[in-house]
Amino acid sequence: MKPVSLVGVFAHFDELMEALQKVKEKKPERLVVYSPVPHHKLEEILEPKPSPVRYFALAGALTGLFGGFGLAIWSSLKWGLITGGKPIVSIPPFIVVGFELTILFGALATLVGLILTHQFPAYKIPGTYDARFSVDRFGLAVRVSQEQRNEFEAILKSAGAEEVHVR
Amino acid sequence: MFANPEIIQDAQSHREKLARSPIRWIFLGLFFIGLAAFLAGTLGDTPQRAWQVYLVNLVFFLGVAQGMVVFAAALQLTSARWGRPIKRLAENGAVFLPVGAVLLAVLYLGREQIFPWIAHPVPEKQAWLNVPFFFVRDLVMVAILAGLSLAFLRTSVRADEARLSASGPDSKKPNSIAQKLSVWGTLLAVLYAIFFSLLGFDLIMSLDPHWYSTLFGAYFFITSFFAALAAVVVIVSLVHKIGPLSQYIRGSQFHDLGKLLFGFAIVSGDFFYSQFLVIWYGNIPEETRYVILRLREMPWKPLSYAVLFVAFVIPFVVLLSRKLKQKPGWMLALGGLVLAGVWLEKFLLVVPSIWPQGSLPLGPMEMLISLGFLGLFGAVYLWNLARVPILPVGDPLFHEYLEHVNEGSH
Amino acid sequence: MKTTDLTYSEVNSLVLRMLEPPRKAYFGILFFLLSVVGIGVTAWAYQIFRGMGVTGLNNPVGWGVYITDFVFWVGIAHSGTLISAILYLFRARWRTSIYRSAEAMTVFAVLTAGLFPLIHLGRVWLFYWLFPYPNQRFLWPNFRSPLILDVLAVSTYLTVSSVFFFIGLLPDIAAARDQATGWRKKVYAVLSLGWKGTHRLWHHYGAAYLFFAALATPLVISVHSVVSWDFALSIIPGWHSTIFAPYFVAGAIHSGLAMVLTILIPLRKIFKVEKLITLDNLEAMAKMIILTGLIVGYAYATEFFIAWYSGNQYEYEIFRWRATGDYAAEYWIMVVFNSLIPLLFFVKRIRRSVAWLFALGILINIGMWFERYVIIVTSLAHDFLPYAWGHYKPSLVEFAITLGSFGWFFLLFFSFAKFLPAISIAETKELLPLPVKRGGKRG
Repeated sequence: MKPVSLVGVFAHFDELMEALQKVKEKKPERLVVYSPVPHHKLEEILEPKPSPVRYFALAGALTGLFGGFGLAIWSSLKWGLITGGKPIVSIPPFIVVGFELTILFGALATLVGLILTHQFPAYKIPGTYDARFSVDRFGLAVRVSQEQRNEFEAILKSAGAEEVHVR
Repeated sequence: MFANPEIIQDAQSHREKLARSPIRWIFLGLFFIGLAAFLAGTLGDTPQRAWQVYLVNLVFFLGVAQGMVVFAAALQLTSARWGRPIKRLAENGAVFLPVGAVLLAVLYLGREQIFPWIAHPVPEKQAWLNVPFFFVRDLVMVAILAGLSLAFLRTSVRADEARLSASGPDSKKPNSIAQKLSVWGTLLAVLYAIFFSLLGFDLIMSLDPHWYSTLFGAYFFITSFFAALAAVVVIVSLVHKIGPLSQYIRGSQFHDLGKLLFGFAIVSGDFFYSQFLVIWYGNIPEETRYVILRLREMPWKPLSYAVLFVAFVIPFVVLLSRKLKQKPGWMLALGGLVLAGVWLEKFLLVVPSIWPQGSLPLGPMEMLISLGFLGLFGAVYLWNLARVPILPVGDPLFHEYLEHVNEGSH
Repeated sequence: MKTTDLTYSEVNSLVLRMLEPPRKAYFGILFFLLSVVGIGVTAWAYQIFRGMGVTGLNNPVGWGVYITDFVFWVGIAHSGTLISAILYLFRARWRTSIYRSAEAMTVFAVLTAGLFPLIHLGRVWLFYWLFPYPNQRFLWPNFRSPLILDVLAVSTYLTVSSVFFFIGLLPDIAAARDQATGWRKKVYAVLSLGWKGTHRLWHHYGAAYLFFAALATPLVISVHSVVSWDFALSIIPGWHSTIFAPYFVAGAIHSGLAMVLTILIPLRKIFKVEKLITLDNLEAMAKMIILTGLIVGYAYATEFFIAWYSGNQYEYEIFRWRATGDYAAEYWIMVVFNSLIPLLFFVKRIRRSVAWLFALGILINIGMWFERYVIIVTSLAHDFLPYAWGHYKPSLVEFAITLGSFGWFFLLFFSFAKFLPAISIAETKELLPLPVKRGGKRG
């Protein structure tokens, strides 16, 4: 039987949490929570592991650091021109080059990491999304089989969902 | 909400423990050993060695003590809640300051060993670098700061003692006390920056009277504040397991202190680099010789690398980790490392200008004298800590913090 | 009139109302700003055609108003990042309603500042020589030079600030998309990158945002330090000074905060968002201005003291001349407006009065512009050899281009305020009590 998507619209956060606890135990096929604001309780339950974005940031920063110093040192050695009486490989000003590129590549890598980890931009708006989720409503969407549909509907309603839609 | 009897008891619990513990006598003992070593040094062959390390310790401990009070003032001015449990531990550093003033006065006796412009006066700088004006202004500045710091501490303690003895909450008093503390705190922060800059110029920069750097004053008070933060970390790590204090001082305090420490490691490093880059780039001989002496010539060169690693690189790397910042054991070690690093940095600033090159004047005598200063600091600090509540029970923000924590939403 | 009295949907409507189709007055102001920009563009075109001789630049003062403008605008940019990134790390709640506008100000100020090295080049079409690439002789830029370090720093700053700004906007563009209709909806839909507020997205987003803030913080300090080193790495008196880096950073934040006041005070009135940008927010900025003003005053006093202490006749002379010579008026404007006038904010009545805040903000910006002018021009006009001393007077072309830059900046901000949410919707909601059924809090 084709799986069906249910979405419960909640006006209150504690009701959402109650529903979430119950729903999570049942291990539905897919579970998505929509909210207008982030909350650490949601993160604790749904995404306990730290985001891999930080690896991207670190990789980018290190690339920038070595790249910056590398570029400055290599290009200075190419012609070996003495400027201002400074040594060819002048570390003090090259620190600035390394530093700026560390930040630049770190930031760009973080951006790439965010895009890749979430596979976003994702322009397709799923049926379970409701415009009110960016205002003041929370959404709990699950994908379940036809048999489980009534069970989950009951859970959402008993926890306090204002509306439950089937998509 | 107020007058929770448990808190009141917890705030006094340390007094008994301190009275029974031998730690105060250990510090006092260290002080006398250090005093003996110092006297032996000054009366011996090379009194210069004793006096130069005396100066190093004087600027170090004065900076740490004053910085601790400024940290407490900053907590007050920013209405920060996270730091309330450790506020008293920080502001208690104020009691060392009058001692510091006396120590500065004692420096007068060794002035000719230290300040080259006494034996060889610099004509253009006579108006500034002459003995009477020099000592009077520095003593006055330290005295003013000591006075303000003690006033700050006393006002803070008085709020707690009112809470401890009162039968019920008095809602009007806390606000006027908070206002007084804000005024003292603002004055303290502003005068700290100005006076410590001048003290840096006088006590350290004038050791090489022909050299100057406009950022030097700020560099001195920033590195002192950095060391003071490290001292707070060390004290909090040592104290937090004693009795009921572990309820109030938790991982989040260490985490926030760690973040501050990280920030000031960067600022200190940045202030050093700003001076270094400008002097290196301009390559003007009058300026570079100060830096070259310390960074390129022996016996100082290895010391400068040691300072770089111990005071900057290692704290930077370790404090990046979120987990380590919350572990008291790690923070204790790191705080100790930073203190050692900043002490070495002060040594590196002061001694090469005084000591003719050759051997490195860092041996048992220096260690004993420094331990003597540590003992004096510890003894005075603990002596006053026993007399005051260890938790700021009279501080409404402290109670706000406790509510916030108990809510579990921290 | 507290922010925390609002509900989630009230926040959405208050902010998104700012994006409604504009009235006639808006187009009037837009036209005015475009005209001002037009004046600047005309003057620049004239300068490209006739050459740099139309400016007042000559021997010995080869850097004048354009470099002043460059440093001024880069400086303005800094407090935006301070408010949005640094105060985020410090968890300062008062930043929430103002950081979006401040960030926008950062991006636009850097875009404005970036014009000036080009304007100052003369042969604008050769600008690409500044970037690191091997030319036909495999010659790379001189990475030892502070000017090249500047190119790297400012480009990095522009890139990172823009990314930070855009990423921060995403949840709010989504909110705008969800309420909009017609062509606006389509544009917001594209810009929002399909943001749906799922738990996974918030999780990764939060991590990324923290990293951006953590990276932007040292960046801010480094950028204006590098700009200050354009001067401090020389050896002329008045420029060669180790205090320049922190002094310039503090000064940048000082002028930036003043500019935030200048922008936000009219903004909150025109768009009627006083409930979101409250007097408390403005007062908090005024208190920060006290701090930055004190730091700037400290720097003035220290430089003066050390010039005397140094016993160096050249140091002594430049500071004496600044206070009493050809540019004395500008010098005293600088000292009074930047370090003394901000002290007025110690008075509570003044820092909670919108009129005073606006007026003092303008005075501080005037003072900070003159500070850069005085530092740059006096040291060049009056260095070691009396034979090499000279005078500099900016020409009409330079005034026009400076005016045009102000027009350009305000034009950018003005367009932004009507098109994108100028106050953060999502983060403001995080300040409000969470809507719960039990516990007696509002839902």
